[in-house]
Amino acid sequence: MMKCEAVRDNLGAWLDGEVGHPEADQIRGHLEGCPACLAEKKRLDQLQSSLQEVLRLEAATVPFELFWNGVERRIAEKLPWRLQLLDWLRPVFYPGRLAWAIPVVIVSILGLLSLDQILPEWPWVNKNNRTAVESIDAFGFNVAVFREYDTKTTVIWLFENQDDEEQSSAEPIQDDNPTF
Amino acid sequence: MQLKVQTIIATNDSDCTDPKLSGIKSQLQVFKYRCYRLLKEETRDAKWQTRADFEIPGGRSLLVTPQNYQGNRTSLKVSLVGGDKPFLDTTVSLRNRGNFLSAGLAHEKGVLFISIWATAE
Repeated sequence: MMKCEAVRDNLGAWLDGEVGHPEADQIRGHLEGCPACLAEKKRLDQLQSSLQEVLRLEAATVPFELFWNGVERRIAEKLPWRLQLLDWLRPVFYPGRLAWAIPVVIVSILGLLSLDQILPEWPWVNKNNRTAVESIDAFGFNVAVFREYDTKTTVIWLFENQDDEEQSSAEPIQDDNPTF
Repeated sequence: MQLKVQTIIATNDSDCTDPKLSGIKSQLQVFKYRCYRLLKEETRDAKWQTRADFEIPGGRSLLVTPQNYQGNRTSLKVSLVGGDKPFLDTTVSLRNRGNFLSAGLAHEKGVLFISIWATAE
């Protein structure tokens, strides 16, 4: 035999038909012999009836016709291609689905940075003509290393010593400075 | 591997640019000489770690030793000598099929530009 407390805990679910067969029979049997729980059941019945009545009255005032007309119109109308594309793309950018994009972006960036290693022979990949000068010795002559900005060309400019006997006697030249 | 050395003379005599220099015209135009003429061009197959000697007008020699090839770059040891007298001794790393310029030596009434190319097969 169920106790009143257990019956009242399940009374709402029982009224909604959500209690299984053996328990439902036990509740029904308890209510037949327990005036207090029966009174509680009647109170819940009245509450549900009142709520349903209020909802029925309120629903009558809601302009469902207009609402459904609007829904039907929006279903029927053809969206501009931009909005269709946006609708099509929108799920891709849900936060949960963006997880795939992070490794793709990282791999793409690394790939672009490594293109000159992956495809060294492709001229459009590697336009950097920069030459690294690892060591230089001009044996007492002044020397300058230029890197031309546009063509990335490295130029090693040797300033011949005008005081040098061999050069000054053999090759008279006005100015050995680079002319830019 | 292949080495190419172009020797060019830059002067201010008159406006001219040798059509044979069209490949490096943009590199030369940075310097405001009026005339660039190709004096000599020499292409030679070279071996790694083996010196290749190129004669440069004016009794000079360019001695190029390809060192190694790594990461699409060729390392070259380059020496410029006049007779027994060294002018320049440098080690450079340049992009495959790329070039660099060495310039400044006086020749006749102009200045020599030496364009050194390296191509690793």
